[in-house]
Amino acid sequence: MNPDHDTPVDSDELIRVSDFESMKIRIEVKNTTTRTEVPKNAAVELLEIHDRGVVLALPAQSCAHGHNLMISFQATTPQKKEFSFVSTAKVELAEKLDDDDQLRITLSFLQYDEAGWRRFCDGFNSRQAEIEEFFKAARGF
Amino acid sequence: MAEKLDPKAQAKAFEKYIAGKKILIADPSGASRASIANILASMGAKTVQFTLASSYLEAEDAIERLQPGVVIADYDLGKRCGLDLLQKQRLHNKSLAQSLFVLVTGNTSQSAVAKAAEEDVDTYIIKPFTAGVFRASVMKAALMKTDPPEYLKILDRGKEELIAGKAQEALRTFEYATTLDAAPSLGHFYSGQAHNLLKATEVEEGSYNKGLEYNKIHYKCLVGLYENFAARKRHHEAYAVIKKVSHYFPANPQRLTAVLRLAIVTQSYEDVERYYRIFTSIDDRNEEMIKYICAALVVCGKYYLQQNFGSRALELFQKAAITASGRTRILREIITSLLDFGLAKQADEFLRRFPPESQKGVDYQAMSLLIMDQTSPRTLVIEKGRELLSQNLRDPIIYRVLIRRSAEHGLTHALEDLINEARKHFPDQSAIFEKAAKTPKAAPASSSAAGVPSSTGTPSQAKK
Repeated sequence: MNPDHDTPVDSDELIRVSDFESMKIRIEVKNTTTRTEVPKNAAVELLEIHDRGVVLALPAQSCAHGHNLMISFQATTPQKKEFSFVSTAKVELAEKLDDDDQLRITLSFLQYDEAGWRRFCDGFNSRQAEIEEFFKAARGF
Repeated sequence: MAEKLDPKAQAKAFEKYIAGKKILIADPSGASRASIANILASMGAKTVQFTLASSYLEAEDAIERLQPGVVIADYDLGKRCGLDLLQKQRLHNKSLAQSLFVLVTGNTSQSAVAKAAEEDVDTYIIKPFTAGVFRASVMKAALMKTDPPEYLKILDRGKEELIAGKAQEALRTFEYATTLDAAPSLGHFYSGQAHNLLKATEVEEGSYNKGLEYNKIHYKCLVGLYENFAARKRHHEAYAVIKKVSHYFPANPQRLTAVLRLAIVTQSYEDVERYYRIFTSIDDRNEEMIKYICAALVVCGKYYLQQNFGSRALELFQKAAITASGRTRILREIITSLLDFGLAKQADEFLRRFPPESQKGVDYQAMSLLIMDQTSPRTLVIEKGRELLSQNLRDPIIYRVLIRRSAEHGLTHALEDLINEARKHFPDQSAIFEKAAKTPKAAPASSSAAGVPSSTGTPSQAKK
């Protein structure tokens, strides 16, 4: 969506289905220490991205401090652009949250493609930058 | 000004801002709440300041009880939208000017972002986020409150003058403000608002356009311009602007309804059909959107009947009926439109679309009588009408048909009682009942004139 194009709006462009769609992230987690896999329909959320790791929310009992995991992320934008990342990682911190059946884990990557990780992060960073630009234009400050 | 501070000074200024403020974090995910709290703690917030809510209702309750100065919410809070908490915060927070509302969410859709920008949310952070982005975003938003640029301070002064009714003074203030920023769209918007108060509608239009020169998607200038054109009944211009607003800020169903209304007013009927096609591909449709798209399709259908494009009209009525999913008001509109053109057979097909559970109701019975009025002998129509009234099914259409048929049949004695009864129940339609008693039934436009073949089966394509 480029607001610099001041062309008349065609009715077909008036409502784009993709405007109502969010980026989708599919996450697969295998615990190579316990040789178990987090079920595909489990609630797994990618919360934070660090320089060399991530923070995830996983079902409780998925892993513990010191375990090694194999993680795979596949993100798809509303425009159907895909970007993905796979790595092995170590659980640096595993916090069981009191009132949730969730584990909050901090992972640091073990063997990974740095350039691939940067590309993956760029997928989110660029969307964040777009949002900030849009906000500034829409609000005027 | 905050932007000129170095990072250390900014961090200190933020610590000062956040000190003592109650902070509400509303997110269904405990892990997410913990992430956000950890980062805020690293920025100077203390544990005692935090209240955590896992649902919309918990968050709403916390806002009412605690009036938090900082609310950080996910856009998606179960079935509710976190953005709705902003209105709660505005309602309950006494020091709104210093408060912060931040969305931190995995919802990256343009519709959610645009809605947040429309509502003037302080900042929007997507998950997954880096701690750096989170800190920078929240800090920037907070420091805008504690030490805003001169431009925004002057605008605030102007807004106070505007609220106090001092339009001329406010105008001078806003005009001065526009010299303080490289892209002063907001300043021009407020100038437009001042001109609006001074009833200078053309100059008002100019102000919004000036604002849009700096920022083509400045939301307030776009909406101001739309409202300016709409108030001046410049429908084509209003339509062009509202289409642009909907293009860049897609999620507002009320705006879609304005678009549909203007499409009809400006006779852009083919646009309505396109909107319907797009509408059918949207998953998240609300009641209002459904209502308006159905109404727009019916209006289009009526137009095509008038233009002798009967087959096309029927197609649109079919679409409206399908989308309406048994909403009886829409079916009623379709049936009355078809009967206005003498298309009783087609009207009857739509009558069959009433859900079984609604067929004892007044909408169905009124439409059934209206169809009978075109297909059955007068005496049967009168008998049916009286039966409906005896069952306490009252509708202006039932009375109208009964009054007219009774007048035609010479039932002058009963007529007066009928008219009085109709007036008692529907006083705003008195004139219509009087007219029905005097006017013989006008022959409906013939079905062939409407371009609809009289035989059953697939209507042939009407010549365009």
